[in-house]
Amino acid sequence: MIWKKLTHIQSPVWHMVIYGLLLSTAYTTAYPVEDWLYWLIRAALAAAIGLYVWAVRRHKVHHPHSAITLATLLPIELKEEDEGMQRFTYRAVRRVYTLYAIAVPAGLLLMILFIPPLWLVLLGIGVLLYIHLGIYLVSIWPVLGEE
Amino acid sequence: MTQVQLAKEAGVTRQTIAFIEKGEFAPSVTLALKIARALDMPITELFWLEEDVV
Repeated sequence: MIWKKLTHIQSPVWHMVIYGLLLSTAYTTAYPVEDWLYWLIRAALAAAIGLYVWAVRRHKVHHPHSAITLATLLPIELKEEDEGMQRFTYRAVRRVYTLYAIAVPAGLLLMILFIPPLWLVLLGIGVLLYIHLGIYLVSIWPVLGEE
Repeated sequence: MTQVQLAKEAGVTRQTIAFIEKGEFAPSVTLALKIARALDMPITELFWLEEDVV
């Protein structure tokens, strides 16, 4: 079921939505927008964070032996239930981290050379996050399809 | 024994059992021993090296 795949707690979709809303919050703080849009984005961000906290607590109930805590620096996708799932997750995140290892220094170099406007920086971060989502889902989709 | 039952006995997810059956994942020695115990079979009957297949 697609919904179950996407809301899997280790899925980057959670991060994508929250990061996307954080980027939108940053944009609407820096640039003037309609009042309703300004508050809608903040309400959506609060709702997304609330849902994420709820999903983490639900995961803890179902998997007490590999509980995920909110106060950790360990990426949540590395907290898989068993060694089989871990193997596929490591393969997926290795590709994602390779992307960041290239994209972050390249992005910083571009920023130094061209000093882009804030909206372009936010757009760049957004595009990078969606490439991240694509790589992760392509790698992990067959595994989640085994549900 | 079903994959679900075996997964429960071995303490892993059903997906992991499915991947081992398909040959997509080589389990750790600990997990291989747990599976052998759950199936009440010697480990060499369940896992072998490719080059040993005649």
